[in-house]
Amino acid sequence: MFFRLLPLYLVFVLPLTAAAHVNGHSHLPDLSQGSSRSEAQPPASHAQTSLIEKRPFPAADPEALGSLAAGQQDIRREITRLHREIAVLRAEMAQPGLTEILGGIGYIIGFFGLYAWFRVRRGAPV
Amino acid sequence: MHLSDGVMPTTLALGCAAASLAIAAWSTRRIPERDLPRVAVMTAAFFVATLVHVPLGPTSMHLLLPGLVGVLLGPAAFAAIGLGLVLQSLLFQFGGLTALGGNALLMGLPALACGLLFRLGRRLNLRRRIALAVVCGALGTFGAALLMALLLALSGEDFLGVAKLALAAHLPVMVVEAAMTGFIVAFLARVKPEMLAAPLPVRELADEY
Repeated sequence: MFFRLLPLYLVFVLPLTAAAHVNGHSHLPDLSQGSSRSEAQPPASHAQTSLIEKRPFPAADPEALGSLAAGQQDIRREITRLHREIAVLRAEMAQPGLTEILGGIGYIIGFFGLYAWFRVRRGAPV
Repeated sequence: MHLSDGVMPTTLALGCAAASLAIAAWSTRRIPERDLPRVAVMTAAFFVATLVHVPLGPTSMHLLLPGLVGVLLGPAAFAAIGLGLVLQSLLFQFGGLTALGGNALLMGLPALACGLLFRLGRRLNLRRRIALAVVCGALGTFGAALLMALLLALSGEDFLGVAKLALAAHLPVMVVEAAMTGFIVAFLARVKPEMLAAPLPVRELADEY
């Protein structure tokens, strides 16, 4: 039974594991106990390491801190402006529009039409 | 000026509602039988009038037109103004629903008074009738402002202070409405005088049948 499955193993499983072992480390997940997180990630290439060293954290740079605070001020100002615009928009939307005017006139005509109809039914001259 | 919900105490609001319902019922019977479109058009004009703004310093007031409606409709003016106010309250949210009775009284009663005044002067010559129409146009808004101050005083505000404020605020509106009423009456007197004739009371027409 094993010898019948050997060709299958040679054709499918070996190449995949060989492909997973590119560049000397295994891309397969290491499920053994005690493996650290750094081993699970591929090590950074040489170019990436130098970038990380050159770019400092924002808290370490006072100029960046100042520009961040100024940026937050701008955002707050924009938000206040947006709130004001929303209030103006709400007030504008509360104004009676053409829809309400035409609807009211329609109601008036309808009421008087009904009144006239009832008067005719009663026999009074309209 | 429309009163909002919650300004008048409940008893006052209920009393005003009852009174205005009674007067509206009486007024509906006085709608001229052959002139329903005229009453409908005046109701529509009153309904839309609050959208016409008169500048008053930084803010603006809106036209009320109780004087004009009273002059042209006579006794039917109260029903027309009542219907206009109901629709304004529902569609434009001008004035509260509970304050409808009070609003109808404060705008309908001056209209009835102006109609009566104009009818009393129907035997005058044309110039005097136009002058009377101008006075009635201003008197309508004047009376409305006074009645509003009275209702607010009954609700607990200071009458003189509110009255002075209301009259001062409505002064440009009074001027505009007086001019409007004068022009409209002058125009109708030349083009269609029968519209200015006092509508016949229902009793007289019923005698014919």
